[in-house]
Amino acid sequence: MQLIHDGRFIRDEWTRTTVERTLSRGSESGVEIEADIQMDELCHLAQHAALLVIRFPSATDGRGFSLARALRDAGFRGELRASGPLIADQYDFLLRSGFDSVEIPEALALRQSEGYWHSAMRGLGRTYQARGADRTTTA
Amino acid sequence: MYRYDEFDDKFVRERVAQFRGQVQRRLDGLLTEEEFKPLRLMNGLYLQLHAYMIRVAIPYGVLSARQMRALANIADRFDRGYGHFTTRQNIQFNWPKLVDVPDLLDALADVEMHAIQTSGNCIRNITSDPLAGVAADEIEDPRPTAELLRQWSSLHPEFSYLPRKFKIAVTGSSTDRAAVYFHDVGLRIVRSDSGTVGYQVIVGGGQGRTPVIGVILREFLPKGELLGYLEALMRVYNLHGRRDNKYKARIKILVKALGVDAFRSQVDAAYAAAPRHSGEFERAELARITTHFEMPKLSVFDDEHRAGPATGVLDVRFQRWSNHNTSAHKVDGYCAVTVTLKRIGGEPGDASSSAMRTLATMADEYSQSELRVTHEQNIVLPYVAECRLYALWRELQSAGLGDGNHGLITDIIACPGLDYCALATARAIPVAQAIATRFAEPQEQEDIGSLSVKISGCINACGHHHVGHIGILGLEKAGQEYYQITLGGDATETAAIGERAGPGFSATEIVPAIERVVGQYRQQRNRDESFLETYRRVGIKPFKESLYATDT
Repeated sequence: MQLIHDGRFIRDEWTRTTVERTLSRGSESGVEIEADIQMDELCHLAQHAALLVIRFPSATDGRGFSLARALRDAGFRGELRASGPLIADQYDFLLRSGFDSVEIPEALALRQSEGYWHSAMRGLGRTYQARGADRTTTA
Repeated sequence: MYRYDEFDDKFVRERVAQFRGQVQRRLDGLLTEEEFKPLRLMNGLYLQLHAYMIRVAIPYGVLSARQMRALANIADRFDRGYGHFTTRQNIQFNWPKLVDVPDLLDALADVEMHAIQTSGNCIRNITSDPLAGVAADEIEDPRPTAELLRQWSSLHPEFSYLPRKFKIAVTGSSTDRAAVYFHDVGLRIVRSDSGTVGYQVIVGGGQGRTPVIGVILREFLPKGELLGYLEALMRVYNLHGRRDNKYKARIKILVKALGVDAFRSQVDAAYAAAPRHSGEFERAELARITTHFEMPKLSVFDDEHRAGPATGVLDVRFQRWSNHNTSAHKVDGYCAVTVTLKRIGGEPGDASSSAMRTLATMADEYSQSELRVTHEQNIVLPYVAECRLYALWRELQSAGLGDGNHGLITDIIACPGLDYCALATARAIPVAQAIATRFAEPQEQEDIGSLSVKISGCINACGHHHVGHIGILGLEKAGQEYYQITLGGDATETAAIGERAGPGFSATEIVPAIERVVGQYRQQRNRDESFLETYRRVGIKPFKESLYATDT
């Protein structure tokens, strides 16, 4: 997988542990979650993890956007990562939903090179949702 | 009407530039068709039977004369001189080339228009009452709310990859001309017992393969809470709507599966979990937007003129037209005029570029340079002085647009059907043409009275057959088209889904079958009773008998 952060392809400092669906970085722990997770379980995990990786089964399965938003609404301040066959054109939506980083399959990274992600990072520059200064439900 | 500010203009321009880049990457092979598809759909671009089709958003159906002329120019430059007004108050062009589409979108942006979210699994163009702001029976103008929702839903980061498309309609009148019971979310502007204006929220209506009448989710939602509440509702749908079967992915299926009470609890829980906000932004935005929709200053006429045109009283065609094609207005001495795009033998909803230009000129001359597109595929001129009706009608008449058939049997809705659509199982347009031709005689139409015929060329029901007083559904069996008839459908506040009459009819049998239904109505009706009233009184049985009687 190729990790993308701030519009750049970077090396992943997190490593998969021997325990299924868990990651670690030094003393910190992370969890990989599927899109069909229940909200109460999600909120429970959010209290204990420094990293949550939300899996996108496909680019068009948008549940992860709502999970990210719900997590941020619930006060999760750790790293949120989207993982799956996502494309640069979705980067702006991912960031605005509360994700920090994205990881995509290597083969996709060859077509969707760093330059696209970098230029897509700022997306449209202006959004109607950001217009609502006192509305925090969308950023 | 709403005018773009600098923000709106730049937003649309940037979106066009972004799509231009996406088209180029698709052409260069950097995007696969699978990856490109949701991107092009979110910009209104479909792959149809013969070519691409682009659907242009006409937010809540409101158009300026200038925009109508731009659409005429686009029809000439990118299509074959035609546009097709749709049942969702949009316009479609059927023959653009992929490489030309960004230029087409630029031409739209020049007149404050776009094709954003006219297809794809996102929140679609917000629809409303075509008589919004002028209807005599209005509680409050629904256009500011519709515009607020257009802005809120445009490129919403959380709701752009939903399980399926999502359609929202808003009405501000007790008479429902926006079919709010047949949308994923329908909003009715209502007045509470204490006199406060807010929204009644209806959810889970729809047509398609599984027609459902929406149910009330929230009796009264105060202003200021609309966007927050809708976000909670959309979040529940986005997380729990089915994604394994596209035919079971609409919100109506989720609401039915959970039951409306359980669905309501989930929405309430999601709403409670989201951060509180004051609602001040929403109210301020609504107030800002409302300033765009003030009633234009209309000339006041003296009593002699106010009574309406003295000329034309002897012209029966004009009398018929002014009876059927005008609606009551808020302002004394004015009316809203419906121009039907239902020329006998024509394609329902189609307009040539010259017809569009005529309509633009009529809007400039007679209607404050404004037009509306209706979900019945007609055009409304919303500000016509009654004393100028005859002059307007004569001009429309000479352009072939003066038919007085609004709401009558020849004012048919039909989807593009097998002539254009990749999904269709049968032709719809030729059936509409055959029925209209059979009932072309104005006197007979007049006698039959209010009757809506709606035709779909497949079970996806784009022709709204479920809510036609007479619905016709075109299907295919063993290479043969056949047509099922449903009766008693109703898209208004007395919403009903049509009941299937029985086995289908072949393409040659369908017109005689409709004749028998109409004949039965004329036999059964009491004086001045409409088709729908008669149907509700006598039920389907006599209609079945006349449809399936064997000659002996």
